[in-house]
Amino acid sequence: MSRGYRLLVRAYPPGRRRGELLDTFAEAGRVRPTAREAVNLLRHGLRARLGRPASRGVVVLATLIALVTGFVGAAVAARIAWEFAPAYPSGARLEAIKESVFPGLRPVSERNGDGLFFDVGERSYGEVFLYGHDEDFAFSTVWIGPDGNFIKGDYPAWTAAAQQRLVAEGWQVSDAEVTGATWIATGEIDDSGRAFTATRGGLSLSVQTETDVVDTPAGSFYASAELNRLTPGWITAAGVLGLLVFALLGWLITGWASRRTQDARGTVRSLTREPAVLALVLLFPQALLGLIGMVREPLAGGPPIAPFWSLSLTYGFGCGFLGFLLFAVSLITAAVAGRPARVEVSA
Amino acid sequence: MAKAKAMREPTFWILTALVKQARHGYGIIQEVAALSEGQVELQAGTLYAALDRLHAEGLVAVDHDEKVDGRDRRYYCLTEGGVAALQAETARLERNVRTASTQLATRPATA
Repeated sequence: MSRGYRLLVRAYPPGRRRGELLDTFAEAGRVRPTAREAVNLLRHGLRARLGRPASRGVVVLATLIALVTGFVGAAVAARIAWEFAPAYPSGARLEAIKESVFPGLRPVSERNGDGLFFDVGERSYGEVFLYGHDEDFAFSTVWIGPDGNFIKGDYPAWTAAAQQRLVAEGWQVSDAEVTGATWIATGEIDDSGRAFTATRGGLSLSVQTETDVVDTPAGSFYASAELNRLTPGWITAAGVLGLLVFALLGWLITGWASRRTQDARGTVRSLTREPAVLALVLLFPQALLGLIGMVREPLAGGPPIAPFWSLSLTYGFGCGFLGFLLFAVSLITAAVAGRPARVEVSA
Repeated sequence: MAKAKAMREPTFWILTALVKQARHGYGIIQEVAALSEGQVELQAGTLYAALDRLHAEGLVAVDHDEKVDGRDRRYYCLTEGGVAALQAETARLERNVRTASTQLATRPATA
């Protein structure tokens, strides 16, 4: 019997079913699994892991739990991967960028967070664990502006010149957009500024000019730039890998709990099932929104403002915390009151 | 009266293969292929998933276990419930065939 079949039958839960399958393939004279056989064994093996073969509900439950745990895995993997992302430029590299945008204007810069993220509450890890992050939680950025914030002159002309300078420095520069208040009657934008984005080497630079900022001197305009990091492809890949691994773990753990309680009395089954369903009510919406954000991030193209899991650490934190406590109740019930699945013996 | 639910084709053939005698996995696959004249070729994963479901529904039972060349072999048999389910499905299919045949007989001949 080939190693391929021996590996594939491990998709099934431990037990004599693996031996039965190997016997079937051996008797059929099969040596090497075909792709169709492999898919068939993986599909039915993972289903067998859930126990309760006549139930469709357990498949729905396991799928939803796998999506939630997959989202958690994607967030954890991406969060860890971000630790290895290239740092923001500093020293001479940052000075060169500042001078490219605001030449001769003694530009200043300020970073809004020491680490990867900005949290106005500056909470410690312990506080985050208990309360989550403040609602403004986002990736940290570097603000750049000219000394005094205002530049004398014509903002469309200055914007066009800034674009040309950045192109010359090797940045990919977008077209400048007209910005300003919108006239409600006509829907037209009251031209009072320009904005454009430039990208280079994993960095994104958003440049903006405005004339309707309070205290703008006559004949001058307000100008600022914000430096962000683009998400490297390998961080997205790490997120996808985390998603797959944790989704599989979620499926296997659900299967373990389901098999342990499938022959249990009603109370034990209820104490396992109902907390898990309630946990899904609390967790699934935010997991789904997070996964949509994860998919949209590389498609949108620009730098991420907040990580795709930010909702779960801000507004959704309380729901998430309670959800995982309820999952824990289910698992503890299955571990304490459940029993390994009954082994059918022949008559 | 509750509406009879159509049986899935692999289920129908697995139950049919077990009518005469208890069979093990490969025995069922072979018998299904023979009875269906090669129309139905069961994959091992599909077969055991169906057997698990039929066992949970009380339509098949474990008959006996064997060890062949160190390999686990389990034989499955039809229960009374399985016989009744197969009879109900057969009657349903017969009714369908009768109705379709009657309709076809009334079809005007085409030139």
